[in-house]
Amino acid sequence: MRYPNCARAFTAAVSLTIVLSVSAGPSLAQAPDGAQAQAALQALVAQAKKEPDAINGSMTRVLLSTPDLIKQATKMFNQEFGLNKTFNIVEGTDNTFTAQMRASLDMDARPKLSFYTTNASDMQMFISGGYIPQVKDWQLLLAAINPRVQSGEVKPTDISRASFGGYAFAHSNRLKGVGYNTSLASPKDLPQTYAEIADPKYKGQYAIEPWTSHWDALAYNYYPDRLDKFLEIMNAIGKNSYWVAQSHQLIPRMAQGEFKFMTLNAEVIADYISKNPGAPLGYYFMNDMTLLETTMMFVPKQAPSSATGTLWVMFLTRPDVQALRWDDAPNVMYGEKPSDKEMKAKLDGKNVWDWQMNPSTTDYWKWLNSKDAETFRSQRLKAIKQQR
Amino acid sequence: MAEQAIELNGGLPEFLRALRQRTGEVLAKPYLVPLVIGGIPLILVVLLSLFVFYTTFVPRLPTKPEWTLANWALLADPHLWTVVMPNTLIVGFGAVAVTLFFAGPMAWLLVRTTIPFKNTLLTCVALVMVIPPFVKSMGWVLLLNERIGILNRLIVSIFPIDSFPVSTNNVWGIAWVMGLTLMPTTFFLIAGPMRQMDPAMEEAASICGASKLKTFLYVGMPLVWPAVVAAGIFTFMTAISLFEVPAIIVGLGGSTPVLATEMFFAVYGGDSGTTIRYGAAGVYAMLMMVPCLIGLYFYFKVIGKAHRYRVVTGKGYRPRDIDIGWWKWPGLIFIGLFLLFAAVLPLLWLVWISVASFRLPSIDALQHLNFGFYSWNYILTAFGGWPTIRNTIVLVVAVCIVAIFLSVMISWVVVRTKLRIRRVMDAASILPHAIPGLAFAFALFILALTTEVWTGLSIVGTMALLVVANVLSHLSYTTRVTNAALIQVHNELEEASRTCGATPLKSIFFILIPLIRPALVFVTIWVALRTFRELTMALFLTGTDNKVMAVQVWLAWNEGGLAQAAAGAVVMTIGCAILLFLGFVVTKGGVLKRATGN
Repeated sequence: MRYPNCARAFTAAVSLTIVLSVSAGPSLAQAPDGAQAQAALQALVAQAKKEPDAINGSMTRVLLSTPDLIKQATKMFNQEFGLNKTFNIVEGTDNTFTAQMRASLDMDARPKLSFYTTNASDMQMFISGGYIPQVKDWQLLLAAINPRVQSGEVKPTDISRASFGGYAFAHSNRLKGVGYNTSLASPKDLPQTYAEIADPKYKGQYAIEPWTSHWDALAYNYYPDRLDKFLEIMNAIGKNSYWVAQSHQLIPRMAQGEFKFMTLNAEVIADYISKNPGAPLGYYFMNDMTLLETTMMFVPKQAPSSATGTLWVMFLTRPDVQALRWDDAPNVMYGEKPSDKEMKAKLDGKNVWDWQMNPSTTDYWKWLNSKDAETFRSQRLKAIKQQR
Repeated sequence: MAEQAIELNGGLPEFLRALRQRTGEVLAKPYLVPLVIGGIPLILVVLLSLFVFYTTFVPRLPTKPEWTLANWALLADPHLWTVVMPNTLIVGFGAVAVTLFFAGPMAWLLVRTTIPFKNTLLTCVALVMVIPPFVKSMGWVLLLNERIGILNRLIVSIFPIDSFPVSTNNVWGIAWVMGLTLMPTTFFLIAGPMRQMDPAMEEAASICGASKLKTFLYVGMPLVWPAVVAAGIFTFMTAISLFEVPAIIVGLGGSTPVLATEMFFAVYGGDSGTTIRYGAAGVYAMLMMVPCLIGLYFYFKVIGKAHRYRVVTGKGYRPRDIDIGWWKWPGLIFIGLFLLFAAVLPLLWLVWISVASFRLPSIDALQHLNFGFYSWNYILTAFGGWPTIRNTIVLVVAVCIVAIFLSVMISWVVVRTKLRIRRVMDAASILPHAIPGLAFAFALFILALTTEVWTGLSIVGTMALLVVANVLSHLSYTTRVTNAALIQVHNELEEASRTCGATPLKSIFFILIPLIRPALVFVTIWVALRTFRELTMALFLTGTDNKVMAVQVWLAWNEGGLAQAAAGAVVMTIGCAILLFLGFVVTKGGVLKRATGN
């Protein structure tokens, strides 16, 4: 079994990872015209002033974790734009809110919220489905709102990647890594590549999450023309695993010593340690690749108070607002918090990688979610869930 | 006037006169009002069920004109029939066995005998429901897990063995924890009807020389058979659909797959994005409905002979407690064991984890205890502040009132009439229990959205939608209780009231409801507690103005805050205990006395 895109250049993915600013430091871009940017911003603010003061939106708890942080961000927002808004944040699972949004628009009803939050991997589907309009003059607006964009230190496309530029804006990242019990093992005793997990010597020592994201990146990067080989590895990983469950359930059990390590979003370990000081847990990134998933915010079509929503999602990219984030929501792309820097240091020399980086990865992503890949998807899922 | 009316009638065409006469006859029927009131929510239930069925033929969201049979392809996997279904059946029947093992004797002891501390013990049984299933599961993992279970490690350290052979990491472990979790539900289903049994029958058995056990087995139990069958069906269906317990006890992996964990993969894991496959949830709903409908067939056969179970009559009915003498001590030990397994151990674990976090019990761990999560500000924030607490109270009260009222209406039609539609109504009322909460909530969301598009009336994100969702989903349980209770009340009492000129509704409110009050009080407590902790639908239908406490606690747990969630759950449990005891004190025992019929 092989991925059918012959034009795909395997080496391109590896070399392109260098392009990411993660380990290369901030990129310098040409600063947009200041006057034009201010004019675009003033027009948006004027529109926002006409909208109701109470704004509803969805954010995962990790972004602005407490009502106090939301109040602080709101105060800064109102001062910055001369507005008097209050933000009611709905907490819950992203996919239920976005499903509601899509259903509302499909049925010609208006979405209930002014802005939404979800994974970057969903963006292509939302954009091609016509659920999200592109923000007019988005690069100018970002430059007027975010001083680091204005100075050219951060490119607008760092915040709103090329494949969905102007549709959605990055807030923070999730990085796929390995969590481990520091009392039971050290990283040198543990696998350094995803394929090594299949080694029988690790049998019964690790847990995996039910999600497929770690493994999809492995398939694309190393086995695009040998998907059978990839499935063989996945079967071994699934069969040798001690447990399959969500990381939030398993981290306390890993801390208690039930097993040595597990694949997860690295920030959840940082979060757990911050809430439970002294927990014998650590995390590291694999040598072969580290998948970066960006958490995006966007304003859907026909959203209530769309101007205020647009201002808000762009405002949240500013460094001073980014500094309000808790440590469990790193922004390794352009964040400057100590936790961002710590994570960047751990990523030094690693192969950081994401699905939105180039047309080849995007094509693979589309194929993976197509009808053609149905059998592959099903086999991959069976492997993960240890179906024997 | 009379002449004028006759003349008027005489002037009408024949068909109109017939129609008028027929309408008059129908309006005079005693079943009309209960039929209409009970029918409305059931029409809604049928519509939602049909919608869920429709989603099974749609690839993604059911708002796009696309068709597929891919969701049904799930059924073609032999793994489903050779591994998943057998495991699921063990869990379902195992849970029923565990719940009946505890609930039958305990209901009898607590509502029919003179056993001491019955009000306190009843409160404790109610509190078992407040402890979230994930807490009970984690508690048993900590006790009996093959690697970190305290009991296992203790035994291995004492005896010369490598591992303790008893572990929860298997399908029997799931059934055991599931049974303990669902026992209060079964208890409340059985306790009400059991309370209403006429002791004269037991006394007759006793006079004929039957022992107390024989009397219980051969006289008591057969009389509450409809309630036991209903409880069995309900417990079975809950057990096969509950996700949290197997997910924690055996994980989501293939070592011990059950229907609920397989559904998780089908709904969330099929694609690489975060899209939910509602159609897959619908297929599993259909799978779960099959055993439900088979069970219902037998249930209908039982209630088809309803007259056999009528023990509350107008002649000489006198509920009375039975003195069990020294048997009260074994009885207390039996109840104590259940409370130890289902409440004390999980609660101790809950308290421990909320102050010690990840640390296993040890002398060293005692030096690191942290009570920070019990500060008032923290707790208030964890619960989402006063608006969330207010919303929760409004939700619980509204759902209790509406669900109980509708259940009485539905059950009256099902049990008291010979209408053909009564069986359809009974089957429809149990449907929501077969449909996974996620699919049900999504269907309700679409219905609300359609209402908004057609009428402009927006109820998405409001408390009203949460109330409707909870009422409809609880009907499957509440109607089981009210059916069982109504079966036991002879209709001669209502007939007498109607003969004296009371309207059908008056008869229901002033004759019937007081007679089935014990069952209603039990079911109200159950509905209140279930609504209080209902999560799946609340999570989907939550908006800015209808947040409830259960969602807040779940969010804390879901985002890695096990200790915070544990502290929240401890406070919720204590809060419920205080409310129940306050109710007891304020009414001078009225709440529980009514429940027990004393």
